[in-house]
Amino acid sequence: MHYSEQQVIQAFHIYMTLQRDGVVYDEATKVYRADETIRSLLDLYSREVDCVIITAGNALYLIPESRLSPFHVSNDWLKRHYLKANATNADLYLLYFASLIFMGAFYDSYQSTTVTRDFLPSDEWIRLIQERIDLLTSHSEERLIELEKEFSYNWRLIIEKWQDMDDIKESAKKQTGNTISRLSFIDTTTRFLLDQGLLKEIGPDEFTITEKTKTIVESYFMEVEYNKGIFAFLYQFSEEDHDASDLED
Amino acid sequence: MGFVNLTDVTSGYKERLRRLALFDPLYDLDRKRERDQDNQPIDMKGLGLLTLLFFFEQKLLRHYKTSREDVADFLKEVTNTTYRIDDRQLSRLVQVIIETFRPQTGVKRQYMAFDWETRTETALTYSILKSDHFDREQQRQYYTLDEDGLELIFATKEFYNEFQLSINQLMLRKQLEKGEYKGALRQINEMRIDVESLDTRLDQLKHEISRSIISEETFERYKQLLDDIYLRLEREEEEFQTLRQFVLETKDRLYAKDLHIKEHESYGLIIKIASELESVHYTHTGLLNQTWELKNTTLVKAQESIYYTGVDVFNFDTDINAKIFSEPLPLEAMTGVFTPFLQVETNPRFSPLTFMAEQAIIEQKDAPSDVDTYKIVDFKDDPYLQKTSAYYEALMQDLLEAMTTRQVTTLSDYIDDQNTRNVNLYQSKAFYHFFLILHQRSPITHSDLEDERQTVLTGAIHLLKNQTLSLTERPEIIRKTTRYSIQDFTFKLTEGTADAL
Repeated sequence: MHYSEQQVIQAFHIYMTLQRDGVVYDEATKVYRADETIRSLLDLYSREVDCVIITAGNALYLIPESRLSPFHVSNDWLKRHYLKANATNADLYLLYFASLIFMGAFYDSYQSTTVTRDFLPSDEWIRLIQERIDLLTSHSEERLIELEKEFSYNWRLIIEKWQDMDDIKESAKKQTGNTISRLSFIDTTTRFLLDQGLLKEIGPDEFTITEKTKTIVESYFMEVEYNKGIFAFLYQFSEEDHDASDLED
Repeated sequence: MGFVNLTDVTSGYKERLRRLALFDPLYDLDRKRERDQDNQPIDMKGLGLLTLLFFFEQKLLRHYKTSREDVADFLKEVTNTTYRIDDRQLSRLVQVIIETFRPQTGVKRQYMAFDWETRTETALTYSILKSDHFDREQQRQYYTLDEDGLELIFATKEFYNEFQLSINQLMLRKQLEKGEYKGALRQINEMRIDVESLDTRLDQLKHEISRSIISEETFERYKQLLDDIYLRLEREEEEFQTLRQFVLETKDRLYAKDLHIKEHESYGLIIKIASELESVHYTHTGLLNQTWELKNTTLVKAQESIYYTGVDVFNFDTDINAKIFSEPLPLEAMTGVFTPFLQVETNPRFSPLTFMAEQAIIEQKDAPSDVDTYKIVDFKDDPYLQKTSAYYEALMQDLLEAMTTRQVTTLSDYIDDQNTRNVNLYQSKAFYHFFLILHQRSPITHSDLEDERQTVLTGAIHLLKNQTLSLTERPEIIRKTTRYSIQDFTFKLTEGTADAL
């Protein structure tokens, strides 16, 4: 397909803003909808960096696809921006862990495809994390060790990291990111999600998700094709550690 | 918070309480712990409400003779798929329910509450069921809903929120006709609340629409909804127009009859009503426009829904989280799944050319920063410094007097000394500042004044005349107030200047 230079440049301008902010509004959205050439160019650009473009009302979102890609934020980048200097990978994965649980807390029903709660208080959040950690602990130690050897991933570190934290550090005056406690860990996670525009504070220790988060979950995770992609991504892992005979059962 | 008219807020408090009281028997029933034969808890509140509805239905059908047995039959029919209750238990349940609504003692149900309008304890009596008829031969008593029972039934009926505004408009008109301007003003305020809540709902709807149109069906639903809202708003808009006209006419009428002089208050009120009505009307018109816009957004959105198909069910917690954590999957799975939420990595890079770029050299300062503290200020211009200086001078005077006449040698003694004299200089922050400075500059002599600049201590040092004051720390910490603590000092006053030491 032939593109005129002017269209390529226009598409590139929109893409640049998308790349920088993750979202564009009004005018660009209109162009994306109306001009087929520009739409295909933008889709092309975003596919090249493993992202997709999603429209929601008057906004256009650039959303990284759920898979591992060198174009997405690296673990190092996240560590540098949101964790303290001596943070390890275990800290980072715990951050992911808490964030996923946060999202899950708002979408935990098969009855409805919209949010199921108005907000999540931090103690409830900690309780949900604890629940999941307990679930992980229920795997036998041997199985976890075996998995570690096989695939070089380490759930035990995360479990230990969490179990070793006190609910609060009593000697510290403020439970912020600098002290080691569950509350301060939640504080770190909150700041991370806040900075990414995924979380809103609506009261003391009360958090809710933003419109952006809703758009991502409801337009990306719940879109048939993308949804398939996500499950394909997840199930590829389980296929690795099961024999073919398991699948036949 | 602005001025709240207490009488307005509490007016009709008793009536509101009464309505609350009506629900009381249902909650009484809710507290009853009844179980069926499978040991399943029975929803007594629900059965109570059903009983009332049954009586209501009977009334509608003009069946006047409703006995306990009829109620029992009805409840049996309703519950037979849900609970396992035999006839004996059922008739006992019916008895409990009826006795709750109509106490066996014959005394009406009472609800004690404090009436904040009259500020008295009031007892509200009400009756939900009443005896209708008694058949002596069959020993049967028939019941029917009493006035309050009917009210309870109506109170539980969903009053369409949508009509609230229309109702208010109607009330306003009636009140204006009757000349109840004060009530009318309140009515307008209630209308404003309606319009505001409508505004919030439209806002929610807007977000909902932009997110969740996923099929032709939902699109049609939203379109229908928006059409309805639009029609309704239009109808209300018309009513607003006529109301406005009406208010204007009333105003003119009052003016023409020179009533604005005689009935000054009413005229003032009607003017206020007119302006308030205008403002509510204005917001309402805004809503009309907003709906129009929404209708357009949905249409645009509909174009996309052709490309977009959503899944029917999705449970993030189970589908994603449980999957990852229960296997458990490798840690990278979390990274992969979470990426859609994150931004694309951007790394600001440094270009050496930045050096050549324009640099901001103007200091932007709105509020005085800490740096200002060290700036040399002209002593006479600063009332704070002057005040402090005078205070320190007075403190020094007091301290020297205590040392020379009452042999005070330590700071703790000095504070005790103050206590005996009923002076409590040590309560203030400046007191501690003073001793901190003294300790820092100890020993203090007249020669410190050689520097010509005036400081906060200048006045105080002058009082020392030819003596030297030195402070030595003692180990104890003085905690005389909850806010401040200070280490204890020993004071020593020697003749001559520091050079002599």
